[in-house]
Formats: sequence, C-alpha cells, structure tokens
Amino acid sequence: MEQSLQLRVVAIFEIFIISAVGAYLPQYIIEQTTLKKDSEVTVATEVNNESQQISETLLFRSLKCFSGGLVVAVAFCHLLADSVGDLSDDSLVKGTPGFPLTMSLAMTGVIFLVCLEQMTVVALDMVDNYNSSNYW
Amino acid sequence: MIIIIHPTIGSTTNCIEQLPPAIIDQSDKGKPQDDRENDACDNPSHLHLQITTEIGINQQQQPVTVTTVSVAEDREKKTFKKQFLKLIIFEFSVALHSVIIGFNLGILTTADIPEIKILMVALGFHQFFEGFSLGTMIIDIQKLSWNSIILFIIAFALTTPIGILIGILTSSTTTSDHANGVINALAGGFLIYAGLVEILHEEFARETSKKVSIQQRPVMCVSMILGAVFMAILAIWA
Repeated sequence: MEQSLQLRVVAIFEIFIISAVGAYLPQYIIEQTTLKKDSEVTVATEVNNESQQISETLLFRSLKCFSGGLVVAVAFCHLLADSVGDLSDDSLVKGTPGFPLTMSLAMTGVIFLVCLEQMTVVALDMVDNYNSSNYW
Repeated sequence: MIIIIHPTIGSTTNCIEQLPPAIIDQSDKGKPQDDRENDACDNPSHLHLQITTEIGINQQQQPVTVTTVSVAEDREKKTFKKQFLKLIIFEFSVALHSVIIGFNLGILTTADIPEIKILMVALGFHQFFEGFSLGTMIIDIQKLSWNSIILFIIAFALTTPIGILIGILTSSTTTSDHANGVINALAGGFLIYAGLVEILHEEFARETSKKVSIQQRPVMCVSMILGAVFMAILAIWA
C-alpha cells in the first residue's frame, strides 16, 4: 500500500475516535462534577432534579460560551475564508464581475434558517390549535 | 367569572409514597428527614399549573368549577420539540462542513504527504472541538434518551471519515472548486446563525431557567473569546 493511502486510512480512524471523544466529553464532565458521592441514591427522580440545575452552573455556561465562540470562529475563519478562495475567480458570476458571491450565499444561509425557525413555530402552533374555529 | 391560578407542588406525603421503599431506606441513612423531602419535591415533574375556572353557580348556591391541570407539562413538550429541532439544524450544518473538510483531506495524493500529516492533526483538533460544542448542545436537552445521544454522537463522528472515504475513492478524478465554495458559504451562514443566535444569545439571555448572574458574565465572555481565538489560530493550518 502506498504511503499516502496508508496515512489517509489512518486518518479515518483517528478522526472518528477523536470526534466521538470530543462529543462525549461535555457529558462526562457534567456527570463527574454533579453526581454525588453516594451514587446509590441516584434514582430517576433525583437525576432529573439535578439536570435541571446543571444548566445554571458556571461550568456549564462557560463550556457553552466556549463552544459558541468556536462555532462563530469556524464560520468566519474556516468556512467563509475557504469559500472566498474557491469562488474568487468570478467564473460563476461572469455577467457582474466582483459580485460578493460568498457573502451573499452566507446571508442566504442565515435568512433561510431564520425563516425555517419561524415556520416551525407557526407549524407547532397550528398543530396545537387547529381545533379552534377562528384560528387565523 | 373568577379565575384562580395557583401552582401546586405535589405534597410531601405524595412524594414519599411515589418512591419505592428500598430507596427511602437508602436515602434515609445519610440525610436528615427534611433534606430528602426537599430533594424529591423540587422535581419539576411534580409541578403542575392548576387553573380553576368558576363557570357558574348551581342550585345550592355553590360555585361550579372547571379545573385544568398540567399546563406546565404541555409547555415542556413544546420547548423540547424546539430544542430538538435546533440540535438537528446544528448537527446538519456541522456535518455538511465536516464531510467537505474530510473530502479535502481524502483527495490529497503522494505528492503532498506533509500536507496530509498537518491536516490529520488540524482536523483532529477541529473535529474534537466541534464535537465538544455539539456535546454541550446535547446535554442542554434534558429529556433526550441515552440511545439518541449515542446516535447523535456516532452520526457526528462518522461525517469526516465518510468525507475522507469519498475523497480517497474519487481522488483520481478532478473536482470543481465551485461546488465546494458554494456549499462552504451556505454552511458558513448556517453556522453564524447557530453560533450567535442558538448558542450565544440563548446562553446570555436565558429566560427559561435562572437568569445569568453578574459574576458569571465576565467568565462566560472570557471563555467565549478563548474559543474564538483557538479556532482562529487553527485556521493557520487547516
């Protein structure tokens, strides 16, 4: 097997394991920090009770904000930067050279998600209230 | 018409009855009686909003009432649906991106072995922290079952390997940068919305649970800046 293929196959497994660990880690941290020492008492009701308070701890909020910063930076520094490089030759917008294609596509994504969320709110409301006659 | 709205918390005796006797025995060992009762009764699933509506007076001059219970439960269901939808949107936009970067690694050939090595490390970090943000979103939904948590994690972990596999299989053929660029730009827009609105704004302006205290805010800001700086530094290699 040639070396580059070997490396790429190794990368498949490496990245699979790393991403699974990364996705499980917050769960693990929260479990370790919140479960009490006397683990015999962890009944379903008590676990429920504790997970209600987890979202109010400073640790959880910091983790959430950390990942929020990560996501925003991924969008600006990785995705949009890559895309600007890929679409810089203007061959997709021959009629209007210099059109900011990347940024308008990103805007499309944002506005699409806003509309999607609003539509689901409307749909959930309709599901709940469709019996009442004067809905609109 | 008189409407009385009063939240009723399941009374102490009820709560004790709901627990199996073995558990009462165990929890009795360590704690004083009062503590155990509070633990069981603060559970929000016992809390129902009870609305009593007086609709008239019957012949014995006593009020006739209609009582609606478990409004709170209904509302809980709705927020669960919303949170689940947010998680799906987030996972989808992250997965799109992950497949693409995996593809970029997969199409590299023998000529650029050092680049493959750099990308292996960079993508490892990248996927680790993206998985981290996905994980924090997952634990935010409290009613998700263990099976679906595992499903979300596995589905996320598979995205980049699938991209690499596609890249390896198609590395002999040439691909267009334009398709990559368009998909990247759309996914970038998705992630800007997910990051700013669904993660950061929701965390700083929480309404469902307790509000963010003054002491918590600077720490949260610092951790947000750390995350952003970290990802921006990774952009040097990836």
